[in-house]
Amino acid sequence: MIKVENLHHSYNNDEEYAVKDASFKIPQGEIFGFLGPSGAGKSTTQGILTGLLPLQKGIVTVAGYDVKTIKRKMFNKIGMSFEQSNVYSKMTAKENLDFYKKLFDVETRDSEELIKLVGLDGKENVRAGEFSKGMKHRLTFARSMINNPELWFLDEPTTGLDPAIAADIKDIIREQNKKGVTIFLTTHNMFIADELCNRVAFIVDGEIKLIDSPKKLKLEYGEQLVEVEYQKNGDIATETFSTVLAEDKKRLQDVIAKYDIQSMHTKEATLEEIFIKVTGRGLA
Amino acid sequence: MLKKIWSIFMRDLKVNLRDFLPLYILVIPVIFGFAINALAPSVNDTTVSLAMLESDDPAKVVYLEQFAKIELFSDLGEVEQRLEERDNIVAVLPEGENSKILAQGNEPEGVLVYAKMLNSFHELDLNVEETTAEFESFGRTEPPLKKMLVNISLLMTSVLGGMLISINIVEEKMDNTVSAINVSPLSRTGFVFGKSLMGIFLAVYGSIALLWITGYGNVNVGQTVIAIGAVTLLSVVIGFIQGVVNDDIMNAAAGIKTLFLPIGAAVAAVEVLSDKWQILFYWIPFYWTYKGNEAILSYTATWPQIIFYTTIVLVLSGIVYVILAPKIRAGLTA
Amino acid sequence: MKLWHSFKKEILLATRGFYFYVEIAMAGLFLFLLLFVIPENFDHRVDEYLFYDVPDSAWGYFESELLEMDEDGSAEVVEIELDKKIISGSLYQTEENNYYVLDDQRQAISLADSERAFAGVIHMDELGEVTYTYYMQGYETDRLRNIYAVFHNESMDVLESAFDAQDVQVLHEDQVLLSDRQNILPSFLTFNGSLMGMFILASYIFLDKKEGVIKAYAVTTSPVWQYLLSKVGVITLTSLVTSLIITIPVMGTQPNYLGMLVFLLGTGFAASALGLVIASYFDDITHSFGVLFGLVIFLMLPNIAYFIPTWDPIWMKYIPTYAMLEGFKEILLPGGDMAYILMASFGFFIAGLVLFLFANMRFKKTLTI
Repeated sequence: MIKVENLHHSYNNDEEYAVKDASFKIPQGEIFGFLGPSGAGKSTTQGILTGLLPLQKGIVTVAGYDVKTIKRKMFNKIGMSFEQSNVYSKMTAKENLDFYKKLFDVETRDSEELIKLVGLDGKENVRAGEFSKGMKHRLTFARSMINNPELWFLDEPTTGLDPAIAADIKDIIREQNKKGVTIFLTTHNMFIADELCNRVAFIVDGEIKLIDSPKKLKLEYGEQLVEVEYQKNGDIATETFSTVLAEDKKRLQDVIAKYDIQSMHTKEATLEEIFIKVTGRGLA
Repeated sequence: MLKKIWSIFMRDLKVNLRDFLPLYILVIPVIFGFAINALAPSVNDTTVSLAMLESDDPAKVVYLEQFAKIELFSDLGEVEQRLEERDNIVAVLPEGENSKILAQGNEPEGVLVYAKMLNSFHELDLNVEETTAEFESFGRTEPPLKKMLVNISLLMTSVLGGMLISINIVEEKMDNTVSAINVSPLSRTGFVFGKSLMGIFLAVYGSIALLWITGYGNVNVGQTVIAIGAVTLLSVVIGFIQGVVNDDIMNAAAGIKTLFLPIGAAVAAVEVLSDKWQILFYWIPFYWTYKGNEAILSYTATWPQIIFYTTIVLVLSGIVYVILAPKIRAGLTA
Repeated sequence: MKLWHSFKKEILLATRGFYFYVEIAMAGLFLFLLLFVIPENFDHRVDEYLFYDVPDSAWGYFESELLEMDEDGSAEVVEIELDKKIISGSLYQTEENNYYVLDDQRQAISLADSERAFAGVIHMDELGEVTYTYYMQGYETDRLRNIYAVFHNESMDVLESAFDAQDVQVLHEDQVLLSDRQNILPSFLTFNGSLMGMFILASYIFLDKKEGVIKAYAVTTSPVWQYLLSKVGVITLTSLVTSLIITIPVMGTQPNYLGMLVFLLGTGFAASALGLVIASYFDDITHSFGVLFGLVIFLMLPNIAYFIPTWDPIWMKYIPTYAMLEGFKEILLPGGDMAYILMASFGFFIAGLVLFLFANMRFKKTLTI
């Protein structure tokens, strides 16, 4: 669905690249995450893929179209949800969606259905200017689905949303993916990337450091240990057991049988820990 | 408090010279000044223009050149073509021993009177050398139009500062940085003052540059300072009110456009309308500013006059401010 | 169709904004001023202060000259303020001048000095020789002084006979002139209808950039030029409405309204396109404001030539607003030059198209950055 080869981008048209020699492929139906700290080059890459920034150097094809010369009909297949809400504040939620629909040549979804989907039902006729930040974000998210995109660009889709609404958004993303929608997701939130993405790319200072699935990364970089806290003689004791070595496994069973277990955690690495390990930088 | 205000001003001066107040804006009053210097002399030359034939008596051409601008054409067709143009040139053409006047037909009566008079002079062979007139002069070399242009430019420079303030505040509101100020130790009054300093600086600097370049550098400094100060304060108040009351750039632009009407009306009232209509414009602060400037530029201003005009400007500004104070407070907390 | 939908959206946004109603209100206010405050024709008479230093026996002759010129053939006794005192004089009013004849030479000269007017002292000596002393401000041109120099070289009767005997022919009979009040309209129509379109359009673009809606638009199948053109459409429509609000009550059915529509479309398009070009070079309205402001002031310069018809330098004619002023004037005049209106409209439309294409090219690269 997306093919990127040797992508470079400089904002000053010099050798200082915001994106340096990025290459990756995204097959249809995949949720691909671009994970990196602020200023890493995530939005720049996404901007080039969506035609918001010109392609300076490299080969990029999106939904079968070469982005070197953007063809407007490419956008019939694409949906984009922006990190910064960008709806018309003087228009109502429904008016925003109804207008946007008319800019596409393909069949579009019903505005009210989308408004309900993102939890804004009852607010169809309220001007977007009166919405809270979260509501505007949801409207922007809803708008990105209006043309039933095959390829969906999501820029920080859950940032600033409360956990309940964020959970709804994640459900919608999963559901769309089940229908075959390819998703390109940029975020600095490793939980989202971990939960949703089939593969993630770590990007720092414009360079892609690695691309792999979260599961494989955790297996490769994580430790196969279990940390147990239990009550012993009135105190809390902590022990770490290998889940591979036989004697540790036996000892673990004994502890579970003998003592009151307070907590038990596997010591597999989080994506953030892997990110720091691989790139030497944090996600913040 | 003063330290905080100063730090806002210094931030504006540093950052805003880069972001808010592009340096080229400081050039605008200078450009006004040089443009006025270039335009004024030729605008003052307001006698009539005459079209004549090259084949006409050269002596006649020379004679009439004493009184009018002459353009020469090779034949009648060219003359007629020239007359059809949009300005008010008329032709003096030979007709037997005398001349006739040919006009397009849409000239003001005064232009035809002029042409007929000049032709009469020629036919009667009235010579400048045989004049029975003597001339005395009051020694004024600045044409009235130049004074008017300088006055208008002073007004525009002063309101430019206010306009910029309004736009800057609206943009800060859209970026939500005004809210950030609300949760800082700086009071809103301090914020207002700090924001206004850039506009005041532009208006004062612009006025001084304009007066100096156009040769009015020797006007009464005290009166000028007071007059400029009043209109600067006025434009800052208006700029601030517009900035705070409007919530997006389009509304701010509308507000700026609305300023042009009272400015234009004030100029027109003083320059064109008779005394009986003046009262209708008393409510416009720019009217009093223009009158005050006019007196200063004519070197006829008296202190009571300037103080009176300035007081009216301040009172009118104050009234507007007081009426809109609740909205301003609300706007600053938005 | 997408262009139509974008245009409808812009109209909706405009009507929900403060700006649109300000435009209408301003037009209404200006109309009020035009109809009820600004007189049909201004008083163009130039004041002159005269003192006749002549024997009583000779005064009758000079007085008869003045009475002959006076519009109603009689002098009016008037009171004039000079140095906070009231003095009296006689006023002889012609079509072009107010001649104030005073009893004191110093008063005549003082008035000329304080009122920035012209004073003349007419002196007759014992031999009956008349000399004229003219008191001028100092900035008058030589040409004007020469006219005064020769004016009394001959008697008024002789001069008047020669004047009346002048043969004046016109290329077009029955030409109608606009009254002074009507003459203001082209200036307003140019400024409000056309010039401000430049400024307002730039503001629209910057507002959309600020709100971020441009990026949302950029990821649709609707091309950039449709976005830009829909904005131009709204500006043009607004200027059309406000122009008609002003013109119809003042001019009635005299103007060529079809011509006005075409002309407003052409000039509005050109001005808006210029606004687009300027907006494409800046990030926000604050940065662009100086250029827009300076350009508006520059483009208002032809008004000087418009209101002072004797000043018409060649270079002024190359400023586009000169043609706008003349075009609107032709529209308002009965039987105005339709060819000029159409040609000028076409010219502005082409200029607008070139500017629009250039702006479109720039915006494709810069709109979403």
